[in-house]
Amino acid sequence: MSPLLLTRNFGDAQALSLEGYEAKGGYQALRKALAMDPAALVEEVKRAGLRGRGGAGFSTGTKWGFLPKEDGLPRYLVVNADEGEPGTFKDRPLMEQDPHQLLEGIIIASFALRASRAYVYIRGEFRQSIARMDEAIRQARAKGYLGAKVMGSAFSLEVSTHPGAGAYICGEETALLESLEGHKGQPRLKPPFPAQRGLFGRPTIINNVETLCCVPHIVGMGAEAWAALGVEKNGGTKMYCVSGQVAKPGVFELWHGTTLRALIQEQAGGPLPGRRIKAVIPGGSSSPVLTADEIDVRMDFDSLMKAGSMLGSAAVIVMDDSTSLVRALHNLTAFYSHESCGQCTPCREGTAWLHKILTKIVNGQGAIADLDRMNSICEAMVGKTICVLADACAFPVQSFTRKFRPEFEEYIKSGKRWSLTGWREESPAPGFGGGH
Amino acid sequence: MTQLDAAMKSRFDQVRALYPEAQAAVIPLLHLMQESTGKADLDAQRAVSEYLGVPLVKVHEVVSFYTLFDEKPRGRHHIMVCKTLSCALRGSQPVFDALVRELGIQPGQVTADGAFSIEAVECLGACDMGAAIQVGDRLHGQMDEEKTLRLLKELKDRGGRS
Amino acid sequence: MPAITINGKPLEVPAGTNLIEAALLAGADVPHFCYHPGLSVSGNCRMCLVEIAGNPKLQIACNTPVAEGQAVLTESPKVKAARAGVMEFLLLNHPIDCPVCDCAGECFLQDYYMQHDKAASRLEEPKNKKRKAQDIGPHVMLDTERCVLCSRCVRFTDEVSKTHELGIFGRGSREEVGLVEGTRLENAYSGNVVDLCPVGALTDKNFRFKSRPWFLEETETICTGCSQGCNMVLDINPHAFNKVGAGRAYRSYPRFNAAVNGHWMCDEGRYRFPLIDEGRLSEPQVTGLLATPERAVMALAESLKALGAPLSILLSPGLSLEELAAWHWLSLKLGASAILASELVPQGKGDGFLIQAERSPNRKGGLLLGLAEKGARDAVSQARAGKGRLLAVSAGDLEPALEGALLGLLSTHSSPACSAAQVALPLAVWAEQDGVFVNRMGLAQRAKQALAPLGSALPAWDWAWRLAKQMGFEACYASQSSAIFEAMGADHPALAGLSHQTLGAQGALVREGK
Repeated sequence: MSPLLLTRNFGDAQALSLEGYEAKGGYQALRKALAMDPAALVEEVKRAGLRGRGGAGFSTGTKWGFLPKEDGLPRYLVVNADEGEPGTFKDRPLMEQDPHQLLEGIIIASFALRASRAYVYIRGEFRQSIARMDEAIRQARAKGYLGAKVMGSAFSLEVSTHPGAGAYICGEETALLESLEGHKGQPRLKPPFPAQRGLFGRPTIINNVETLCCVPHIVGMGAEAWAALGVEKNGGTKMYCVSGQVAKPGVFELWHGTTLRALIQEQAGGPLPGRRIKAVIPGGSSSPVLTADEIDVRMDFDSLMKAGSMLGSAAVIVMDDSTSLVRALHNLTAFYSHESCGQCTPCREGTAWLHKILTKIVNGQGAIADLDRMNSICEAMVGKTICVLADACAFPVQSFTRKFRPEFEEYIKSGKRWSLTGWREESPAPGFGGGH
Repeated sequence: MTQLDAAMKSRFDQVRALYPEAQAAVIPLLHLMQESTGKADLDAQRAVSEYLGVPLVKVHEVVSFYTLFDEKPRGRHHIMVCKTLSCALRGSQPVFDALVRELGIQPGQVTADGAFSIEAVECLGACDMGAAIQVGDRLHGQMDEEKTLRLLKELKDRGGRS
Repeated sequence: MPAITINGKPLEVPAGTNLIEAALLAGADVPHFCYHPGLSVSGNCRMCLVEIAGNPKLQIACNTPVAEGQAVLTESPKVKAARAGVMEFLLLNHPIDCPVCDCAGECFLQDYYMQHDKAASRLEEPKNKKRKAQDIGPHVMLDTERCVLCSRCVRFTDEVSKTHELGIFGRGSREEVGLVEGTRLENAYSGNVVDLCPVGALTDKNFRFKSRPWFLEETETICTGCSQGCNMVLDINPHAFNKVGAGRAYRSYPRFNAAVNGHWMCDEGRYRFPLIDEGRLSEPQVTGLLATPERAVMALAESLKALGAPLSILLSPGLSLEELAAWHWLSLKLGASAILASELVPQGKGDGFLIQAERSPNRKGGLLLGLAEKGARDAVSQARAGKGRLLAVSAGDLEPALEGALLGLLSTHSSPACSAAQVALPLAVWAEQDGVFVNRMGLAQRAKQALAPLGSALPAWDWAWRLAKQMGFEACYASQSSAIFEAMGADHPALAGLSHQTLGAQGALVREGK
């Protein structure tokens, strides 16, 4: 139903070299873009209806339009390659297997935004991605596609990679900027927004890796054609990650009209032998969970929103009937409490408290009243914080306990500790040696 | 006061030149120090602080905040086991248990010969390879107890002891 | 000026004002921990969330500027629920140290709990334990278990003292305020973090376990440690049972004055108050032996009548305006030369912030009264050589420069010079009298009386009148320092129209020159 755009070079080692990438049609879009007016490029991206693929789904063209008029001082494009949302693994292969595609998108976007400097913030664990991007940048500079006169035009651009150091919160735009500036990754108060005051106090646009990888294709085939590959208000192709209890976990580039069921069954091989799907996270761990009856939803931003969840980072995690959803939720609250930056009260204390309560429940010492207690804690967290990590923790807690309440009550009533998968009784003890 | 040798100073200069403001180089320089000396301890922090003119307390805050930095030396093969949901669903606990058992250490410790250390980490972005572990720069996927023991043997044979 | 409403009450507020300050103007108190007008906005405690009509999400008042037409609610059900939520989160791991915590009685958590919470704890899980009772500097103790991580103290050492000792280490609910190992909180303004801390995480070592704040009486006054004249509060405990060695004053801390010290004061000034009680001269002496005030005044009057040589009267620039004026008047009556003894007071080191090299609090005041500054050292050496007589009125600061036997020494503090003098009279310190001091900027400020003078000590002007009376002069001023000050306006146009009352709590600028 959809051509391969973003993943067309996957598995082709040739594409790692600039010559190989160009031989397959790469950098034509950049040539075309440099001949356009930057403002027209922004309009093109707006018309294409490209939506941010980092998790928020905000119109990229609109975001680009937030930059103020030039004042002769530096403007920045920052690439968010801090892929950390549990279940997400689409940006890593984009960087490892087609670094020039991302680089081309970066150069085109920087030209459109009249930014003369771009930083690619890559999470510190992605050593291969950092190496591949550094090499692509080196090749591009040698070829004159970066530096003083990009492809001989009047446009100049410097790009470099910048490593993270292990913090999920740095995927939040302003926390990323803080980290890039050499501080702890603590999100900033907004307003002002990065487009007004971002990196080093200057107007800055932050875009996700996959979002920028779409840009050469939008320019290459034109906004309308690209948009037509998708569905209304959700244009282009999309990368979907499927992991968890499926036969063939992987990343798939598909049409937005794909349903979650089709994605799981046809692309990812369906559930493991002898198992039934019980619960599915559709858009990264921060998205409200869906029951097995709710997976006929189309995998686009708007449809999932209507279904009470979100597309987020398009990271699908499948859980089957051999899995304890209580243990699964406990695993997620460990994540959020560990990753909370600690700045603001409701998140710092709320994520940790939710996890402590679930630890108690998981060890067979819970009470039914704990479920309502957790829900009220979530209400005190949502919408009260500097960034949405608190919400991201509250959404799974609320959706798991609401949609699977009988399972939670049964677990509590059993008074026992159960394994994550396989329904084995365990002696009350933390796994992973450390209170989790 | 930590003196930087000429080679390291030259690398520091190269990194510093990438940014209009000195403090932006804190994290890349701390990575360099940890790669070179094996730890981002107070000496390393002082070196970065003095080179950049950034208050020591700020550098220390950064080291305390980010999980990749360690003030104590790690093993030559630092094994990160992903514990987050997708990998947990594919059996990360037995992998972790096998490592603890075979190496005789807990997270935060290093084997006596300095070869190995283990750490349970959050999502490595390799969920399709679950259960996934990362040793140094390399990801290893679809791990189970058997593959873990085989990997350990490989690493030991390659030169790490214990 | 944007027109807004706060809880329905309309008001106009200068553009740029944040909603916490705007609410104050409307008489509404928006509770907060991390916000402080002297520091950058942090917005992390989330206690100041308010409801703004048209906005589905609550907004933090500290980072929301007023905007035309804004309708703000500070007590709506949504706001109250949010506040109670934040309080629950802050109290979750907070140790109930109140019985042993110095902050009790002035603790934001206690106050807000009573005003906005009052719920029982719902924690059934283990509390986070952190490090308690850490000695982090000469003046400050740190207890990170009590800390609410508002970051005020960190912002202080970054933005105000600019010494960068404090940081917040770690991530999430386990993070702690601290210092890098091997470093101490040792800057010249360290005590201010205790004022800033809304809870008992940072406490004053000097004040530790000494008194409950509700037993203390506050007096609005100023520091007399240098010519800056930082505004402060002096706390005394009128109920204290006098322990041996214990003073009557318990602590001092800054009062806000935009023109002088902002929200801060230096440690040297903050911890000067023990001098109020330590080493005092409290009873008169005649030739080194204890004497009654009447006897001492008589003896001094006799010496003054029988002067065979020129008399110099050295006046400390640490005395109040009233004291200086009275002795200036008396010196004219005696035909003596009154000298403002600034050159006998050693300079300190200024730091470009609050601490001034000029260590006297009232030199400008002395100059305003027309006192000459030349010849203090000469007068001392002349008297030493037997070529003149010397009387000194000291705020405890002139003694090191005084040599030989003085005709008379009036001083706040005891020293060998007292017994060497023919007559020594005890002076009330700044905290034991109502006095005006003019700081280096020409701002006349009040030091209000907090304590009764120790023993037989009196303000210097009171000794001046007694001497005058003894010698048959007519005292030209009434015997209250406030009346003295008001009457000064007749002789000194710069002070015309001013009174203790009109100086108020923030002082008034006096015009230069005569």
